[in-house]
Amino acid sequence: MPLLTDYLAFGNIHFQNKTYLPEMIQSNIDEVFRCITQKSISNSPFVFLFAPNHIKTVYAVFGIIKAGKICVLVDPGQGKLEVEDMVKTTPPGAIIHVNKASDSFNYNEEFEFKHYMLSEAKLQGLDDVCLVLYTAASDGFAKAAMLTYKNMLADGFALVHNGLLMESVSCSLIGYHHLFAFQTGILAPALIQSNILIIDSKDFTSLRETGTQFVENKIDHLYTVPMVFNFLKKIPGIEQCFKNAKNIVSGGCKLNSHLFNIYKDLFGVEIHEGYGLTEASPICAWHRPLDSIKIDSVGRAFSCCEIMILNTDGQKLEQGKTGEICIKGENVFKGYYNNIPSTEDSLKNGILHTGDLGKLDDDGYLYLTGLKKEMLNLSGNKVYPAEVARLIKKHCNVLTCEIKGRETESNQPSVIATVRLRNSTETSQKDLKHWCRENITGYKVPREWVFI
Amino acid sequence: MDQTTKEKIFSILQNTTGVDPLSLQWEKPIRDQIDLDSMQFMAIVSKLENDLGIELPLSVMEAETMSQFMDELDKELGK
Repeated sequence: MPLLTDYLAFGNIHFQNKTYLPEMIQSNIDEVFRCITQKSISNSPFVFLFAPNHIKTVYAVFGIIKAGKICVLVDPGQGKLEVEDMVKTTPPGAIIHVNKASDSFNYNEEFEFKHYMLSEAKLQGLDDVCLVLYTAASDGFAKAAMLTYKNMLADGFALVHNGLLMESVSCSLIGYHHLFAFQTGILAPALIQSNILIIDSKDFTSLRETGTQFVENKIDHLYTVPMVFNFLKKIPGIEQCFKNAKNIVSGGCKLNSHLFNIYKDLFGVEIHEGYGLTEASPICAWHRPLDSIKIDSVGRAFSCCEIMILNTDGQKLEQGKTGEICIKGENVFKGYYNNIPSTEDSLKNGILHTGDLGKLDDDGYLYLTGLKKEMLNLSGNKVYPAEVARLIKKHCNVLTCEIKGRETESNQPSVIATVRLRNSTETSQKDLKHWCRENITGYKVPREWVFI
Repeated sequence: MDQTTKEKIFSILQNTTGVDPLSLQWEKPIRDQIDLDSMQFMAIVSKLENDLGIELPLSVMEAETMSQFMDELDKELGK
């Protein structure tokens, strides 16, 4: 069985004012590979990687995959309760916590090997899986989406064919635990010796410095979310960065036309909006470099897949009619690990049912119109009310909890919790909020509380 | 900055961080007192921009302490 790492051909990686050459990158990947191969004490193929935007994340992801293991990409800020759930679903053979203070691993401190043993049945069907990401918690439980090397390559090469060149420099200004960032910011460039700029999206203490890095490294492919585009435009001299821009892409959530027009007017660049989801490796649609931009649309089907709009009976709808967005192609994931019912709900005859609603126009442009699934989109971070309510109910003083989204003036939904406590006092209410901040991923913690 | 605007800002900060701004030490770095990464800080500033209806400069993002943050907002609101 070929491995994803068999297809890699690194260019240079620029990180924190240092350039890492391909042979240096490869040698560090090999070190991770050797460490995992020699020290593993479990038959579990899963290796958790708490993945900041850092050079060592690149070494770790590909070292894990080269060792024939499956990399579970985890948000470094993931809450304790969600991590406990992940450990139950995909017991890890190792856990890697990247220490951001250095650029090479201290294996004794950053790698933790575990004893979990999986039954033969639970090891079945994993041979071609290289990545797992947790997502789709609409029923309260995040699921382990399995991505094969073929899935990742299909989407990666589609990206390459959409204008990525050897001399390009790509930068994803979103956390690498989002597949959109990993695919655009690491994997696709690494398929064709293209160059990468890594910026720690959670820790860019000075945006001015980020702007300088963009200009100095001559980035021409930039991928991020609308909120970050809103801040990048404030950086003095940032127009230099966009002079040679080839692909400026926005994903994660809706890009408003006002921001699009500002970039066009100020910098002469058109932000290309796209659409995707983890289960599709992740890009399904976008405005390709030569496509004319249709504002409000997320572009046309990516070259590795077909987009169809289906009604509730699974029949294809004609252009202009709204239905569920469904995806067919090599980028469609393998399924959710150890979860046949959820896999059967999302994958029908190999077609991915996204749970998103939309329509196609006569030119094949896709327009998102709503959601079939219950989910809130907070600047690209997806929050599932059912999951948050379930996690809050783990607190011993909580009797009932309901989570809802509320539209605000800023068009950003606010997460509201309505909670009934066994013993409700000002102190116990404060305790619960504090407990949530300590145990649940930050962006999922409700910002508004109603105690009944 | 008038009292109503100040209260609106405090309410946004409290709702977005879960922490009462008055409970912070205003001369010490905000990030030493609240667990915030750059993306979360950006989300707060975006919300302030939207709710106050103003475009905030980069200097607001670069404020280290609560005092500096409020001073920067005061400057912009006074324009």
